[in-house]
Amino acid sequence: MSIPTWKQELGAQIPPDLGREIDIYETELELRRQGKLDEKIFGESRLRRGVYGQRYDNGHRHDGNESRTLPYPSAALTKGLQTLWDAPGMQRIKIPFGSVSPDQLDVLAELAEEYSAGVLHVTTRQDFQLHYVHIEDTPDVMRRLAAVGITTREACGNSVRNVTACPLAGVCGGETFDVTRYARAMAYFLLGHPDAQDFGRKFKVAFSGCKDEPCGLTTFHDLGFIARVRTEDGRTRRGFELYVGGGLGAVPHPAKLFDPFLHEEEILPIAQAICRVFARLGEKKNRARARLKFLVKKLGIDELRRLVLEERRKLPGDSRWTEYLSEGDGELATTTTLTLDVDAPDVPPAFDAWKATNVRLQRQEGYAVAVVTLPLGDISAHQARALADVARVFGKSSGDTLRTTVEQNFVLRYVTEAHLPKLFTALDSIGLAQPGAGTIVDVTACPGTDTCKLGIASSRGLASELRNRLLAQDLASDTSVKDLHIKVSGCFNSCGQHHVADVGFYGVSRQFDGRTVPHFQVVLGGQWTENAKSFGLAIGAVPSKRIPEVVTRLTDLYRREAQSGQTFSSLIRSMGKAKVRALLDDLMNVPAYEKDSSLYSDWGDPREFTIGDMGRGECAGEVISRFAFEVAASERRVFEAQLQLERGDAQGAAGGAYDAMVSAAAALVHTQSTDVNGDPSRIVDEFKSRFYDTKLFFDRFAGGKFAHYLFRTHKKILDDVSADAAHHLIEEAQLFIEATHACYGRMAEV
Amino acid sequence: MQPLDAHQITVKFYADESSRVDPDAVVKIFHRWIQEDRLKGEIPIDVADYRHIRHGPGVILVCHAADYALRQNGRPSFVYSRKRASDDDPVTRLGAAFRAALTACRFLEEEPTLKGALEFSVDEVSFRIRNRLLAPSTTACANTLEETLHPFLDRLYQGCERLTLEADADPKNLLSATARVQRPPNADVLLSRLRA
Repeated sequence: MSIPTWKQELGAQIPPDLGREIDIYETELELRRQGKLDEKIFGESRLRRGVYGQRYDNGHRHDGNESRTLPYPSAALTKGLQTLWDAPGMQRIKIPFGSVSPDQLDVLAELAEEYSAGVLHVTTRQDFQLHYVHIEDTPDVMRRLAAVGITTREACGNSVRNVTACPLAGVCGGETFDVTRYARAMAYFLLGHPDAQDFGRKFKVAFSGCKDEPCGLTTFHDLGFIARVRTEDGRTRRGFELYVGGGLGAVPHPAKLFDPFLHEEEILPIAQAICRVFARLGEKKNRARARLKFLVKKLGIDELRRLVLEERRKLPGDSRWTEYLSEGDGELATTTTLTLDVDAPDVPPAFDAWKATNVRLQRQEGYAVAVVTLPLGDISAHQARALADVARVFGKSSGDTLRTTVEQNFVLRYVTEAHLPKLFTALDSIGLAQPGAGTIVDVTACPGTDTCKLGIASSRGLASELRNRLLAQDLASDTSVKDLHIKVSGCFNSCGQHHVADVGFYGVSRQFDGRTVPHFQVVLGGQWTENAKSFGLAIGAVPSKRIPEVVTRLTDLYRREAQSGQTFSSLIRSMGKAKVRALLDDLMNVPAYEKDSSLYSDWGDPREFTIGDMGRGECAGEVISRFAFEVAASERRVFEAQLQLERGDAQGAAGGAYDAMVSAAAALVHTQSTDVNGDPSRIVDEFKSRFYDTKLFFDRFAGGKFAHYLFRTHKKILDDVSADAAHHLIEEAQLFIEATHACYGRMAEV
Repeated sequence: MQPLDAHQITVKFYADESSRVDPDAVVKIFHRWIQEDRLKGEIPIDVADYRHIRHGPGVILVCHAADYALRQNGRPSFVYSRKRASDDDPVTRLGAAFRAALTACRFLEEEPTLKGALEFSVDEVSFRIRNRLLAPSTTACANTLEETLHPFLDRLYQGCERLTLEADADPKNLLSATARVQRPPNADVLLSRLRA
């Protein structure tokens, strides 16, 4: 009896284009397992499907006494540079603008149970992450997601990452207009776009419905869109204030104003033009300077604008620029299928405290948004399934009820105000009714040393400790400090967004008497409001175990010294760094190990601290040229053709051999022109004029012979092909691909 | 195909409600198990602490082929979750899962730093199959699971007064079953039978 597969089980539920993508990935996985696909290419390819490595995947782990080798069964087989095949990894799942349906949440819960540790993690970019996933399970993870309309494509790697947007888009009283449809359009327009495949680094886009609130955080994105309207010829026109070149990372750069009013129909072509300029001129060798922000700095915003507008003028028209915008706004019908007993107004004692911090009225009268606080951004599979049911009962039957937030929580939209007490009770029964959302107790943290290879100190360990202490002090109710934001990153790369917190921390280490002590650099004075308007500055490093005392002193300082209505960042600026640092100086002294060894290990980890477990980061991925990716695709296609021939499908094998040759030809053509589309006739014509007629493709000994394999097959009608003929075509395809490699090599030498 | 053809078996033993220990202590113990290679045949990778999630997975010792977790949100329990396939037949795999779970429970019971605070019962054990494709939560699968589990449990618990087994086929949840035993042999006897 054959073993059922998810591919068979889900069948037509998987959209064909997503299914084909996953089949391609699965073939690449098999090729890599057989050693037939370069580990760097596979590494970048899996990153572009959101398949990440995790800490210790180089096969080494310090156990507190010594570094140990992890003897995985697959031995030295790798899934990328210095990442072992069997080592558990992380699957990042993109959720454009954070919108997830109850059905999708059910599937996410199932995946957490079956392939992970039973926990879903919400990230600071509205994604989900599953940790401890084996790479061999990833194709099925992707298929089950695809069946409910989710793709993991371009969740990581040098690609356009998740497009984020205000979680209150469509329901916020302060928004200029609902940005949902624009965020959706951007997400799906740039997904897999040819002009977004040749970046030297990641690319992040955010949408905000207003300028004042922090929900969109446009200031530190590569592209940040803030909704605007203006009157033109008596008509109200929608547009966006567009900012480009923002980014956090080790050194944050605020985005620069590209256009104070970009008409809505221009957002997609301008984004495309920016992608082209970035792909063409962005740094690719020095990974540390490969983000768009460095190109903006190098060129200046005026020159970048000039180049982009020039590129915009050259763009071939694309009907998707307007078609994608035509999907409706997030405004939903205001009916509900709820059948609660609303005449039973039992208000639990803890309801008021929860409502004070976790509920916000919508602009639609009678409705409210409830924030579901997730400690450290984590939710169990059981809780996720239960939350999906809560959303079905309390939210809108038409969808768009649930969104993730960049503060690692959920929001439940369109909750009838009168039902809030019942909602609270329902959430409380599944452990999701914690108050304090968005307050000082709602500490944001990246995964840090728990799972990230770049983590230096335990951001989650610290965040958990701070959260527990601040809750115990009931600071979410303390009006003088409750609105402070605390964010923690495990290293300087700022995935925890420490730069925009009132009080931020990022992991560092210091050496004392031959031992390493975990520290956090204290970063003060970031501005969270106005789309994260400004960034804090580091004032000094404090041992990790003393950070709670840092927070105590800073909150006491704020209570004591702030003038009425004065923000924390304003207070820090007025006091000056030196004075604030003096307040913390004594905490920076590290006693000898013999006097107090507690400082020599990190929060939540009893091992003596070491940075030896840091590994090769994958966030930067590998810079794989478009040619390398495309020619790898042709090699994969010819491999598939061999498999088809083995299965007796000569016709399919012959077609595959032809597709492989066209794909290899396209790889060469695209080194000269990115505008040539996928039409085989166009590709063959372009290949002939650019590479055959010019003799660029000619081999020193064989001349143009291998090109004729393509031309001949292109002219043939591949009907009723025999196994021998298919075999012959496969051989010719392989020789053509080799000739393509050789041609590219000669071009590179020139 | 039958449900136990799936390798993703979870076995759970329960402790008394009063058996609660400091999660920090459990984190330390699991790290020490890594240092000491305590779990023979496993490749331990790391310790993951999810105590902050209500009804979550607790503190987990993540290994290559299986996870070992102590949960104290709700009823305290020890959970063994097999992740990677082996070449063994289903009953052998089941026995291995049982043995691994019970062994870890005994380690925790005998852990000097816990001073006997943890005591697991063997009179109730839960199983789950974390594979919705090979073991969908249906009545038919539940019946098949019971038919496979019963003889295994009868042999293992021979000498007990009464054994009941109930499978749960809630389509929202994973396929699961719970066995309840009156006057079971103690854990060491069960382990000796599993090693035989």
